[in-house]
Amino acid sequence: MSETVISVKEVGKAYSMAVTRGATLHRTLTEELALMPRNLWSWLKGRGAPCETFWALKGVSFEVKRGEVVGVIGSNGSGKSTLLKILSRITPPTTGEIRLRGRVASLLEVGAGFHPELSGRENIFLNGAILGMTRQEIRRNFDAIVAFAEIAKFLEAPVKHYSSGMYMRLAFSVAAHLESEILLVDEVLAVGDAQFQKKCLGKMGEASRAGKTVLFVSHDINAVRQMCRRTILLAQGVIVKDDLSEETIKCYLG
Amino acid sequence: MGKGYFKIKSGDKFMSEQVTTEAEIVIEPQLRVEHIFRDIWRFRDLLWILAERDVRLRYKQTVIGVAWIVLQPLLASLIFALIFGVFARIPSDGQPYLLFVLCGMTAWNFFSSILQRAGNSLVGNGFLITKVYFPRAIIPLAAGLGSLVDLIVSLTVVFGALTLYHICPGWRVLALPLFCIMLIVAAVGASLWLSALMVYYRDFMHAMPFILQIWMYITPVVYAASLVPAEWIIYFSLNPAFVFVEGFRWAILGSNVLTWPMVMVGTASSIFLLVSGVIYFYSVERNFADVV
Repeated sequence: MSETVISVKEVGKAYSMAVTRGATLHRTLTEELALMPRNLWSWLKGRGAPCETFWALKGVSFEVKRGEVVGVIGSNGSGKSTLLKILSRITPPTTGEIRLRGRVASLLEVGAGFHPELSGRENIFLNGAILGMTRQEIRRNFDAIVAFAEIAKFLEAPVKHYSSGMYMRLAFSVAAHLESEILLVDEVLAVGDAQFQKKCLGKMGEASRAGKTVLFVSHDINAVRQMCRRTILLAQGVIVKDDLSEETIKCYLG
Repeated sequence: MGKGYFKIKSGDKFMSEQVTTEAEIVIEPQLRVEHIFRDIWRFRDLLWILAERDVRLRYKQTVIGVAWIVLQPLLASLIFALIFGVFARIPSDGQPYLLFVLCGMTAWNFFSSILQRAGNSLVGNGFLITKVYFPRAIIPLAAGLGSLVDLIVSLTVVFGALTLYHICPGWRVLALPLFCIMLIVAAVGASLWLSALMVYYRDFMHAMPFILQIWMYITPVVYAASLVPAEWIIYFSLNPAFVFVEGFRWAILGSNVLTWPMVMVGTASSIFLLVSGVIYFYSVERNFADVV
């Protein structure tokens, strides 16, 4: 049972300042044309003049065993979201290596890919496929998704006519039914009413009881304390503390 | 834990078959080339669903809906026929100008709509790129796939018009699918370039209409390829659209400008566009989320 499912080794992520600075995000063509002869390839790769780098994560290493529910906390800009983005493969690490055993479901933001003009049914398929489900898998879970979201009556209506509550429930429901061994959760609980948050927490607890591994990133200290035995504290891109939740939270607050 | 343990590197995230299959995913700074196509294969359902979404959305909240696919090329061809055929009297290789331009428009519209839709698709779907992982190439591919529906409909219009004119295309029509495939190869290659460049340089968003307009002028859409001086024609053939749009007329109307060297040059440059497009796309693909 104590098999390592997530192994993060010396992972770092550097952003170049030219990219992170808003104004120069999309350089103008004239600016670039002047630099072009110097290095066409680096221009094509979107790297203009050499620029400062900023390390959002640096030398982060930890391991998570099967069935563990681990919280990740830290103030804004501490690298929590970057870590999750790397784990869910949205952005590549600059250094280091990560090994994941099993399929990953990331609930970074539920409802990604929902299209307002499409019906609830169409959106379940669209969103499911975006999250990595096959058509078959979506069909298999379709009824469960609809039931969990409590939207059976409005299945054929375009989601733009949904209330925001219905919208959120449907979105979370699709994501929660992704069959996976590793669950990455980021701030989904910040939205929705108390009842919905309870439902989300319940689903996460269920997942961990079913032997799934959960990495839970949140600002909500109470939710972390309630859900996770172990918590990692990040500050300025490095791990400050990796301990039992009580100890880590004490360190974070103190 | 030894059994069923096999190693799969960065290329794949999801085991689509069985959840219980243990696969190790390794995330590294560099992308492994060998996993590109397998990754796309794994997400093939997403490709279809996204394409379906694009087609559905295009005609939602329109009154005449799918009829637009028929009307667009037909109206454009009528206008071109009036301006270039009746007023400017541009020679059309002895064919009725309406048919002549309808053929050219069908091929060109197919090509340019792939470019346009796929080219804008990455930026248009930026909200997905920053939220979820999947092979990014799925987005422009799905956008281009939607154009295939248009092609089939507008080819039906062409063949409808042929019967009105009592023209029966000969055996050459069998080459049509090949020309379509080559147009797809060229268009996908070009749109991989454009869509990826657009992520970094929004200038291409504004340049797109001009690129398409200029590309149309160097392609025999409203004029006959025979207008190009014979010694120049091989250079014009470097433009795949030039060769294969003319190919449509060769196959359907039996015009005789197309030669083997032209087809070879056109094919070579299509393949070059595709290969270079794939290489470029994948050299920048992983950083899209940081930039878009």
